[in-house]
Amino acid sequence: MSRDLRSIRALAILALGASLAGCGAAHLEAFSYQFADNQASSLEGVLARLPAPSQASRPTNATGAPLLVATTHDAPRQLEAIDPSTAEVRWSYALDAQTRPEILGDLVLCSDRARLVALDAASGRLRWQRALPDLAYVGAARDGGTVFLAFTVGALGGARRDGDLVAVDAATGSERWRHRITGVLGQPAAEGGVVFVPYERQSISMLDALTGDEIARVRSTDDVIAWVRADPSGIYYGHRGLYRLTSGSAAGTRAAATRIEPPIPSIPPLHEGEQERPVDLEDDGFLPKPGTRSARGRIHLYASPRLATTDEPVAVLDDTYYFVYYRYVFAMNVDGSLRWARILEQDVIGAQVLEGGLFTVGEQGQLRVLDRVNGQDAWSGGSAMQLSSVAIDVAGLPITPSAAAPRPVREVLNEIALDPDNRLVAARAYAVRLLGALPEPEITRDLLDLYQQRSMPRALRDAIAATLRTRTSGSEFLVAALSTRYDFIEETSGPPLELIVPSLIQMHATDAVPGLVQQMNDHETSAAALPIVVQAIAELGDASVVPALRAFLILYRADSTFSEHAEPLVEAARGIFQLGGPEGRELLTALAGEPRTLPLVTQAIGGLYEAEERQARELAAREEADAARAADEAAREARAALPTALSQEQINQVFAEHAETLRDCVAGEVQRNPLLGQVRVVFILTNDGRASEIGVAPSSDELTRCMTERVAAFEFPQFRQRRQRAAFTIALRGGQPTATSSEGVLDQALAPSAPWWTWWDRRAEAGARTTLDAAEDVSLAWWTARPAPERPTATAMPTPAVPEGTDATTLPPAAGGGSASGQGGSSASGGSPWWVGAGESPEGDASEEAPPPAPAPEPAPAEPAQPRGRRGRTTPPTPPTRPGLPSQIQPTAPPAQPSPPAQPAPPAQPETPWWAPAEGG
Amino acid sequence: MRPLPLLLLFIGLSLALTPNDVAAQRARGAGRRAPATPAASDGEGPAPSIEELPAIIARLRSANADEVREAITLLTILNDERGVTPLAELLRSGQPDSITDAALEALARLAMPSGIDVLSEFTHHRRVGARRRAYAAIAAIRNDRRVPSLLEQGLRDSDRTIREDAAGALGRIGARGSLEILFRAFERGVLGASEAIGRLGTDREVARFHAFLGRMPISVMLGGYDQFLQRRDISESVKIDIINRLREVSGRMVCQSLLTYRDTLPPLGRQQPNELRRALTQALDQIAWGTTRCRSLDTPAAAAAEGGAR
Repeated sequence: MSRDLRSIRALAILALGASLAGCGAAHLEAFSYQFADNQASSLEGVLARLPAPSQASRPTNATGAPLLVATTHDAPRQLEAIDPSTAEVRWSYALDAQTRPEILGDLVLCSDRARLVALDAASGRLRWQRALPDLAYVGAARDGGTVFLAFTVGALGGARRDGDLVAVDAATGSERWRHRITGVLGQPAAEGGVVFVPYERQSISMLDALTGDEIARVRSTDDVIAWVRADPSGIYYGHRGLYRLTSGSAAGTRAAATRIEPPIPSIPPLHEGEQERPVDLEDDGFLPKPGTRSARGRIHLYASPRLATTDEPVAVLDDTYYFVYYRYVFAMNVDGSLRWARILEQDVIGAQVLEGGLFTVGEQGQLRVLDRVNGQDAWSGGSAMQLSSVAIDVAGLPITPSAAAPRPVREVLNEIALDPDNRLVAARAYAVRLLGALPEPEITRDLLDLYQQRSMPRALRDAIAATLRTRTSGSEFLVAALSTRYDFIEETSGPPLELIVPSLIQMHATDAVPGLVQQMNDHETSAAALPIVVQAIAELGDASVVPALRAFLILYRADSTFSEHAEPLVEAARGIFQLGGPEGRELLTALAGEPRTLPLVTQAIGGLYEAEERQARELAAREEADAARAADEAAREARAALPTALSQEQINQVFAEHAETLRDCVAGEVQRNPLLGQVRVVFILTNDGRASEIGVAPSSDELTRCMTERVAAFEFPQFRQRRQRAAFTIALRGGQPTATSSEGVLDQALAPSAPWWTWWDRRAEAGARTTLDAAEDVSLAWWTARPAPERPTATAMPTPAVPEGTDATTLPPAAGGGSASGQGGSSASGGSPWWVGAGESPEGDASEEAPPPAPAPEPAPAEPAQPRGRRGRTTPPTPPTRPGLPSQIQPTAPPAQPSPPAQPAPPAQPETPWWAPAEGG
Repeated sequence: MRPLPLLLLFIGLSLALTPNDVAAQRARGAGRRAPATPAASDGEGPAPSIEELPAIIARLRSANADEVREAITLLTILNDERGVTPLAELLRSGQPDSITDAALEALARLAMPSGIDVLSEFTHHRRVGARRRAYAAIAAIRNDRRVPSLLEQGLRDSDRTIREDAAGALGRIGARGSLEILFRAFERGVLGASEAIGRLGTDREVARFHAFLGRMPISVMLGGYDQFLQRRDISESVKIDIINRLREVSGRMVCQSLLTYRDTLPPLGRQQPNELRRALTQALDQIAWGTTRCRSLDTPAAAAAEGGAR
């Protein structure tokens, strides 16, 4: 007992362990949202299970002979198996079929409203039947001994979206496995032990046929998957594109997949608001296939895949697509061009593409194979029957190619357009569009003739008109049509001007003008068409049409015919205005001033002049804007060619050119201040070449005023950046040039704690030198150990270039008297004039504009760190002292040694320009 | 269902065109009343003299529409061919409807062949009223070989009233060469062609005309038959044939028509009635509708006069 208990316990533990192991396994239900889709490895596994591709060459049904299974239309309704070669009915089975029959090996499946029946394909004997669930039966697939049935609801929307996939034994109908999912399923395909189930219009779930386990899934990320089809040459899927299942399908994208874009025909819209309706390439796998007479079974694009060559992603049999629309068949090449068209006697309820042609089944039992080359009968048969839907399995049917010459496409398309079957207006419009795409000029006449058919439905007439407007050849036929006119006795009507005239304008058919004039003068021309006729005359004609337009306008200008709708007169006036020259305008002016002229015409004539003026104004404005743009562009280019900033040499050059202008300013100051060593001008140069914010040192009122006025009048070269700091120093050193550059002067003399101009005061206090002709470098800082320069005497100033009438004793020397050097280190030679200046480098100034491309960063200005007063704005009455300086370095006598104890270290240079206002002040 | 809109259209067109038509008729009437003498200016002041023609013509260019219309009237009264060209120029210069119509009516009164060019132009005018007046003016012109062909052109017009007018005018001017097109117009429903055919057709055309009996309203057919019966150049046998066919049709309208025709015949007196009269009498005796016999409409005097014929 205890052993039994132990055994039971052990078994229980094992069972528990097994169940736990099962729970913990990574197994997901089929169609789970958690399933890892687009996995290349799992897809490769599926592809490996598929048989080698081949080409279908015989029927797939178990009998091995061509077979048709059709549902009949007449009561009592039944399924009939038909031998297509003899048109004999092999067997029949009474069934009120609601779905199209399916031939699956030795089975024929079909459903009525309550059950799905499986019949023996050879005898029609019932094998098994199943009650239909509360879902729609959408189709089945078979692989070996298993049939896979798909039921779904919600494919067209609605709250309920469910699907059933049931695997049943083909012989008995007993269920092997089943998946019930929340979502829509499509008709499956099966091959190589794998069931391919379109799922949610986006995915294909691949299930193991034996177990029902999902083994791979392809999910399209940029297309719809509406059907899956198993063919000996491969597994195909898609919606309007034709995909072949390959390893590239795992990417889930169009780009990576193996696919082609078939030339899907579109049915033209017939009414306003409608859109083009592309035709389905295959039956929508998510919808039941109707077993009764339905339009869905009669509008179809047929193509059958074939083994593709290495350079073809996907190939179709005979490289031909067949578009069937009820009784019309259009054969198209792979590039979409029309090969042939044909009208059949009966609506086609089903077709199968064979090698060499298209096998069709007519609604009244007519069977044909339409030759792929010419559309003629390559085979025909059948007998009188009333059929609703059909399953076709006729691969390998022997076909003898038709030797008949193909009928001209133009002729057939015309026939289709003229077909009185008004069920097929949409396809007739499609034929009209195909007709309009043909290049022959005579097509234009064909379209015109079609348009004038009295029995033509309005929608088709509109389609013809739209097609005619796309024509670019055959205007001669339109011109010829203009010669027709209404005649009550002869029962002729006028040409459809509303159709012809726009096309003539588009074709620019100037030879139409005489006919148009005739139509304009014909009282039978409809009031609706008259405006465009007159407009066309004005557009296509030249000055020769003006007399006709004049006569027309004058005749009706006061007539009540056009009192409310004066468009034709307005168009005539416009034509005269444009083509009539001064005389025409004179006439128009006179008519507008004539009180009996219709007010609308008067207004229109006024409007013409106004419009012309407005156009002229707009044109002038446009030209002006263009010119301004061009000028801007030129200026921009010129600016781009300008230097970023002026060099010191350029500044020097300007001062050199205006030296004489400044002479009396400096001379006056020298007279007032004989010890003056230099005059320094600092200013802001704007990029238009003007100086502003001019500061002068020494800052005596007279010198400042004089220099400011004159320097402000200088014209400097332009440059790119908005403005720059500039300076010029006039060194008055007794004719001895300084040894160092002005840059050096600044660097040293403008020590942070002591402005350069204070040196003189300090030196004067020290009672040092009184002459300027000493070879002292004035650029040395005040603390430099050197004697202060002596106060120069007026006579000591050499004035070799003194203008006449000027007091030479007050002028600085003209040669060698000044010392200056540019930023580039160019020093004034010994022969330099008295004023030779030394400015400060403009580089390093804070550029207010950085024009692209940005030049290399300029070095930061070596300016004193301390804030300074704005020299250009506030000229200190006395030599300025730097605020905040230590008292010991205020302008006092310089110490003997150049090491001022309180002198702040000069290198701490801030970015603030030296002329910037003092901080806090 | 279809005749109702047509009828309404007809009524609408008639109403729309009636004032002009009436005006035109009045003008034509006035034209007939107004001889070439200046005295008949409807009492609107002194009649103009031919010396005033230049001044009247100058007034056609007035900015005052009333003055222009008055000048047109004066030109009509003057009835001088020199007035045609100014009127043509006035028409071609584009005028309001009232002036255009007045000028066209004036040309109709003048009825000068020199006006036919401008009138021909106005047969293509977009306004129906202008076209009708132009055709009426053309029909008034005599001795111009272009007139019948222009009126035939009117039969091809899309406007029904113009077609009817043109057909009537062709009959009135005796355009026998237009019989063929009149028959075609009649075939196409131009009812006015019936009377014109009756005016112009020969014995041979009577037989062709009979083919319309039963297809066209009897009132329309009677318009043509009345004309045939009235004409002396139609043989008696043909007239008897007409009467016999009408007798077969019977009805009040036929009765009244034949009674009217009988009244136009010369009194029989003591003469023996001829075949025509016998056929007529027989027809009047046999025609009946409902319980009413044609004889009941006959006046006693006429019946007494006819007694001898029986």
